[in-house]
Amino acid sequence: MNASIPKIPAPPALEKCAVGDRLPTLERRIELATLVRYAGASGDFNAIHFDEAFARAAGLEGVIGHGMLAMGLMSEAVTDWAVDSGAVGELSVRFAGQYRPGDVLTIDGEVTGRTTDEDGGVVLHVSLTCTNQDGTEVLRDAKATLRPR
Amino acid sequence: MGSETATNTASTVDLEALSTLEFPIVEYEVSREKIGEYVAAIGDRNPVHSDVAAAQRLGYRDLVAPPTFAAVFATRPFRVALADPDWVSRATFDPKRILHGGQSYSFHRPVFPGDRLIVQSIVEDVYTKKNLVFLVVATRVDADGAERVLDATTTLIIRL
Repeated sequence: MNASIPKIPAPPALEKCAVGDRLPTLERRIELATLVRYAGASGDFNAIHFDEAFARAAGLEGVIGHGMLAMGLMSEAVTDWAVDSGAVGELSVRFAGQYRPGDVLTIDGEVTGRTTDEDGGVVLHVSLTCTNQDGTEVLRDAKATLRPR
Repeated sequence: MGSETATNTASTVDLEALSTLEFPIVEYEVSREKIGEYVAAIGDRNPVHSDVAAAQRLGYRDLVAPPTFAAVFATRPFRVALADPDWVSRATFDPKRILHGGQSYSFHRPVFPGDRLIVQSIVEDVYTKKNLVFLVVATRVDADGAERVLDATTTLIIRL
């Protein structure tokens, strides 16, 4: 799929991460083609995500992006940072606002908690934001937990 | 979703009917090819999701599906139901009036190529708020042999 496999980035020592640590910002421009590819890959063929006339007939101002694609990018911000995506324990979001082709989504995150589970393992709690270029909130209450292995 | 199945009119949603809805159990086999398609669509560059050797360096047997790859299979019981006109008429809502309000996943282990998953959904809660009906669908995903892989909670909002 990729001409060259990117080098594995140096992961943070997750078990040493502290409250206040910030995740690298993930910024992604969404095109209509992005939504079409996501529709095919995910199986979500709701036409409001690629058919302008259908979207307008459904009462929208035009094509809107998949909420689950925004959540996928939020998850990507977490796993880009952690590298070990198998450490992800929970992911949750509320879909707060719409985004459209041409929008640039920006995802930021921060470690907001560090607890231990019943087995004494470290659990990191990460809170994230996902907004478009106008500052409109696309995801709300975006959260992840990680259990460093 | 399919426009020909949208036979229900607005503001006639039967909450009792919603709370007793059932979904078909769906089987799904995970492939490297499908994970690769998802990874490319999202633009994910983490090699753990696309390169077996990189995943093995972290101790995994194969490449790891990104957590939100779950969107590919966890919604299938609902999607299969929506494609069935009889189910839609029992559901009493117009599929065109559904919004995705929220989503959460709790992972018990990562998803790998070759996993044969069994996906089961139930209606966990139905409640109203102003002109909106909230339909909360809980989905459990097990690998064959009944090993729990993940739990998903999907909050759907039906506009009246």
